[in-house]
Amino acid sequence: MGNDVIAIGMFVSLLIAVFLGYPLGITLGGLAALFGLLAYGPGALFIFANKTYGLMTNYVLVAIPLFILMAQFLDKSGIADELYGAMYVIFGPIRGGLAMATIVVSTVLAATTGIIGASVVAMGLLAAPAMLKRGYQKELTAGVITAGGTLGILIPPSIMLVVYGGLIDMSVGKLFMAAFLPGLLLSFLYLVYTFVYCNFINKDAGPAISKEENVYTFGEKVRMVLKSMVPPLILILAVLGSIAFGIATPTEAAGLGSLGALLIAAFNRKVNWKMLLDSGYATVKITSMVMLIFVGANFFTSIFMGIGGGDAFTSLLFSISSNRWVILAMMMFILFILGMFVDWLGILLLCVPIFTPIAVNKLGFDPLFFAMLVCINLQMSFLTPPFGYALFYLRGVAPPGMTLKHIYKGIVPFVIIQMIGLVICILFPKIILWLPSITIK
Amino acid sequence: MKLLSGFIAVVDSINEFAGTIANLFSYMLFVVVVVGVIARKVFNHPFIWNFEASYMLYAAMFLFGLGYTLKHKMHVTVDVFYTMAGPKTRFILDLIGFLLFLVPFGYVSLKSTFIFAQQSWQILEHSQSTWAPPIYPFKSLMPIAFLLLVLQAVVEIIRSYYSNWKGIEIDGK
Repeated sequence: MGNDVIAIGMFVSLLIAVFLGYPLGITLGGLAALFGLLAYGPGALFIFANKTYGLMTNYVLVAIPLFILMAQFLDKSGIADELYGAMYVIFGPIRGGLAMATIVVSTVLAATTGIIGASVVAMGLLAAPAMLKRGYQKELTAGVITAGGTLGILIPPSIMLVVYGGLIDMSVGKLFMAAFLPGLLLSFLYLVYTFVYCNFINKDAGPAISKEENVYTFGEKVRMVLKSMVPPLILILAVLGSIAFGIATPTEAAGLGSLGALLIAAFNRKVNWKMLLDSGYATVKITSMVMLIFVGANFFTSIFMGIGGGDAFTSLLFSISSNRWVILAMMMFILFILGMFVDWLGILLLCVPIFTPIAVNKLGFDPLFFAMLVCINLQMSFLTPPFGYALFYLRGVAPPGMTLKHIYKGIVPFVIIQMIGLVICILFPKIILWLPSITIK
Repeated sequence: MKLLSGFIAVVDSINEFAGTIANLFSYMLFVVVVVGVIARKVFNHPFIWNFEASYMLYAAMFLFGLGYTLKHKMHVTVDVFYTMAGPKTRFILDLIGFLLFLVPFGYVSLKSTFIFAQQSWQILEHSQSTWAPPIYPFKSLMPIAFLLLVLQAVVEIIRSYYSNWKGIEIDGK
């Protein structure tokens, strides 16, 4: 059997296999084992051990458990409550204000954590009941919580960017800096949309809070904002600042961030044995979950690329068109469609090793620019049904009366905004490339 | 039946224990990294063991967590169809996944990492750094971790058979 046939067979089996619902990492590893033995014989065995050992000794990836631990500490530290309390008072009096408050709080949380579960759950528990009680439209409520929470994976620090850097040997610090402005751009677009929608398109979607509730003086408001904003801002400055100015590696910054988050939690009197044990167990589960897919996908792509699957895929793409923008658009489309069904991590680990040589070497795109387009795109996978993490996180904590149908309807405008954001970044690459060019050399 | 539930109980508790060890490693990693930054940046006195200790703790942590995470059903699955299926179909899907993916994965992961660790033991390999710690115990974590994962996967397929196919919960007690 020719290797081309094996490569195609491998790809087709993958498309079927993932839907069986077996753990993704084992599915990928098992397929790679079968096809590897078929193509190479026993030689395939040693690829597995070598690749896995490479992951074990990859210092960049050490940042993953530390950023997860940091998110666990922050999640239990009570900063989300304080932030939302303050933003509620500030934005509440305008139409759509509570939805905008949710976006602002999610953005701040996104700049302190690298995963999305925590902020969607926190906002689902805090903001959703508050908004529904004031008569906010359910779809809008669901949309801002899921879209806002999803910023966590794009705005640095981000596990996605650490995985990306560890996977193809790119500077995680540069990726962090590159993702900052695109993340803020999306957050800004969400705010504009929410404001316009609630004030001009559908005036009943987000009523302003009543005058009786708006009892705080200007001084009190300032104090609330400062008290809630200062701890996370110091944390953001310490983590991202130390990376931007080259003081610490991302791994070291993650360690310092965890320490900072633990101190904030201690200051709010939230630290106890149970909290520490739970944080540790959650860190173990999420890290092992990420790493099993990493192990399986790494093995899969080595076998796939080894038998020439990458070349087969390249010639397939070029047979459709040789225009670099058409090929880029096709890649983005593939990522988007996969994102509807498969977890971001699987897509990233499978597609990036195959796509990057084409985009960078053959089409001449800047690697950082391309990486960011992939990440903005994969961010949509959290929102796109049927399989979108953010939707499930919210459904798990949604107040009674908010169904999956509201959530599905609510995300539509935000997915469109994310697409617009992606197009803006393609048209104005400076949004991606400017910040890394002035910070990290 | 008694033997089976005994087996499930043993594997479950081994992986719970491994999860607790992994939890401990995650805090050790946290301390090692923080101490490392402070030593390097504040006291300008880096520890030679810091770099290697960091990745060794991280690797030990995620490896020991693999089976534990499977026990807690936290590994990512694409469950669009699985969640729609009835219990009997679920068991069939689990069985296909087990035979088609876990068996070859288990074979390759155990055999290759066992040989990999064995070669390291034969030469009593040490790291080529200034600290030069022995590497063979570290490489041995791989076959141990994949064995724990495979054992837990066997337990899960038995559990799926009893709960989905026969409709009885089997507790490892």
